[in-house]
Amino acid sequence: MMTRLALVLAVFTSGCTFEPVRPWERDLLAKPEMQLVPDPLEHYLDEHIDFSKESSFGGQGLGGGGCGCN
Amino acid sequence: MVSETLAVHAAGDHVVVRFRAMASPCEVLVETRDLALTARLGALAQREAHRVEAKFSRYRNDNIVHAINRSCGARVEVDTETANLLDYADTCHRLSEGRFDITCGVLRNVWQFDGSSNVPSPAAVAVFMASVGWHRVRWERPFLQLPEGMEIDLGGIGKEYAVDSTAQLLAQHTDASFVVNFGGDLFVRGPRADGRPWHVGVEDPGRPGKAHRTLASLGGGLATSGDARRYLLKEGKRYSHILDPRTGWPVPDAPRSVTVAAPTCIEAGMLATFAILHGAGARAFLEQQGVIHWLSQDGDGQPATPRVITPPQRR
Amino acid sequence: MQLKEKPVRQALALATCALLGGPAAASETRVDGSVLFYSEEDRVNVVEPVVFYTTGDGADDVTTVRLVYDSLSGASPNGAVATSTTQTFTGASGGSGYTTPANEQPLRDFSDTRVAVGVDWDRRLSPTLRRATSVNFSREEDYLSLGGNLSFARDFNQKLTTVVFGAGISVDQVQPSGGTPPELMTFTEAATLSAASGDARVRDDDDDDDDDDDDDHDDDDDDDLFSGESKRVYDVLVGITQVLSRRTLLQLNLSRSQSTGYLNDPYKILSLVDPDTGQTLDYVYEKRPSERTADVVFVKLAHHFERDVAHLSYRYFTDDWGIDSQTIDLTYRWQPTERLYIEPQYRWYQQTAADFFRYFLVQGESVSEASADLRLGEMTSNTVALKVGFRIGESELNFRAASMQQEGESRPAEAFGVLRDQDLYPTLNATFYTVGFSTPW
Repeated sequence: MMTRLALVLAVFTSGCTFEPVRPWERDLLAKPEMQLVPDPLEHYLDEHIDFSKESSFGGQGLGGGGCGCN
Repeated sequence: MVSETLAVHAAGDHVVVRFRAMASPCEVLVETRDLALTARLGALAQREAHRVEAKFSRYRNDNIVHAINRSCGARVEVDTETANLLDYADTCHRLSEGRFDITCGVLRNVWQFDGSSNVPSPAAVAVFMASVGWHRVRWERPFLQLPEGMEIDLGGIGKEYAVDSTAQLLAQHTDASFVVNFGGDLFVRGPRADGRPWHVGVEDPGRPGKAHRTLASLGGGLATSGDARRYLLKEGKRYSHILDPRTGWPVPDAPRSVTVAAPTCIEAGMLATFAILHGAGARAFLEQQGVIHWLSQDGDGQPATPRVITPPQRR
Repeated sequence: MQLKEKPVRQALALATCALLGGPAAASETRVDGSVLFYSEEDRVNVVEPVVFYTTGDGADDVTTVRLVYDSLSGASPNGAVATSTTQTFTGASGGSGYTTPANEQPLRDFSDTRVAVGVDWDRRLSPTLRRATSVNFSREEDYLSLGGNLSFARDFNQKLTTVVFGAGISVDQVQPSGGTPPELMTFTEAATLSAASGDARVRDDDDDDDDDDDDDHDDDDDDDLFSGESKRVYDVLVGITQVLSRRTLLQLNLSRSQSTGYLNDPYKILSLVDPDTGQTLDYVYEKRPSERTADVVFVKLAHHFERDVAHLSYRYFTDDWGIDSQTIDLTYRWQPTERLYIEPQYRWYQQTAADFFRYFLVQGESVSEASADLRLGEMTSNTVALKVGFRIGESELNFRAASMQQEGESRPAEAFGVLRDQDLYPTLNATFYTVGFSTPW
């Protein structure tokens, strides 16, 4: 399992070079699809489903309030 | 619709888009590597420059200025943008004690600054002076009434206004730092992402490519008043094209050009104009107002248009 | 002859302000809306419209108002195991109950409506510091929640590094319909108690959408917003985001949450079985600890390829209930044209069982806590989703379809006797769709 994850991460990061990013090179990072939460609505709905069906919660942000679904 | 092609060109750490408007070479520099974004911003800038030019140019026969200048003494109702500009012209007229006057355009009928020695006679000037004077105009927002024979000319503030208006428009379409430069009248929306300034230099025409004076701009406007190519020379005396509306004659001992940096392009332009209207006292006036400025006097050589320069990259 | 002194510059500045209308503070208002249609095979159905209204200047000062309407109906497992005969679940007071056919997982019908409202205020305090404040309110028939959180984000290193610190609190009120059941009491015991005292301290295990008709409600619990059980959740989070390259972003978050109070599911029971045959003899109301501390490690990598974007995240969750879980989520946004994107997603989730999770209880054994809620059991969940989005001008229209499958141990080792004949963890299959839009307003 962990080796599987490590492999995926390795493939993922092999395309990147860890070089200092010049401020004018931040164009791509500003795009909505590169935000840490690209679609807040979708994120809200998914988190709600996961919270209702599983025993884990949180991770990406602070609690958004409870509901009776768990 | 964009009537001409925009020339987009990547230049290291920014992208430049160039076009022509208001009889000047215009450019927009954007701190980005996104050519498409710059092209879009360029198109917006070109459209806005053309819009302002079309609306306020006195050379057209289909705009509000034409309607005002052909009103034959009748009252004309103007729109909000025009009213704002007239209010501004009115304020500047008062602040300059009458030296800044948008009605002095008719004096071009006697003064043609073509480098010749055709200086008009006082009598000829006096005839047209009857049609000069903002104090003769009835301005009660939104109604403007010009006595017959009088005209308004917004050429003195049109280009700077277009720069500021364009900069405002572009700021709504991008978060990037950019420079709007319409023929040397420019606005910097900065600073650049890491706090660095844009470098605006006034080239020494004797040594092209070398900046005579440089301004590191973190934001704000820059404008130049005066144009050394428009003058008259008679019996060794140089007559600048800046006329004093109260006399109808050129301001004596005016500097050949004044460049000012201020929070907006239009303020920069107006302060530069006010300075020139001070004639010999231009430098003192600018120092008193505490603005960043350059003066170019007779004998300084041809002053050149300010432009954005890029210092060599540190690798 | 002199123009007026310094006031010229100031007066000019004022006049210019009037002309240009001051610095352009572009107002950016957007509305994002989506409707979720969620459906489990023969179980729960949800229709959930959500609207986010965002206003402000789009950068330094952004306010978002969130409105959620949640309509749930269907049936959900009550925790009892399937048996070879029909099961009838009634309250001790003999009110109407519900039955489950033989060899089927017992499900309890329910329907509920939830309304939730939230507001987020994001404000830039300085060129390198931002503050985010949120307030949330949620109300459903038997549950009330009020919470808020506050976080600060500080940029370093020319904004290539951002450190986030935040804390939140949620105060919830549970008002189980039919009252709060007595923990770990069997139905038989509860019935005896209630017959003896004549006082309906036990809950009817009924459909809870005819509250008004339920005469056996303890009157004290009726219509009082602040009665019932309470629960409090505190959480803190510390995170760091690092720009690795022009195309890559890495996020790492560490968080801890502390829950206190009534953490039971008042509608869940366990089957009490005969120690020799495994036959169901009775039912027991569940009990969970009244405290829960959980820690989460979350890592996310976002990468922009030539044109496409991928997000990969990993979450490790562990708590003092004995639950450990891992989540891997991979989303790939393929952008074939400027206006169209197609985004497949795969999510894998695996959790261990809570220490007190039991498929069933054996008569004679004594436990301090127990729950048969399958969501606390050992399970793996796989979700695949496909999202398609169209950009129209400055707006977007999107559609998403997803399929989720949750599997657990159907034949656990502890099953014996007739329990061996039953599927103690039926696979859950759910599909859900969303239709959404995003538009400037």
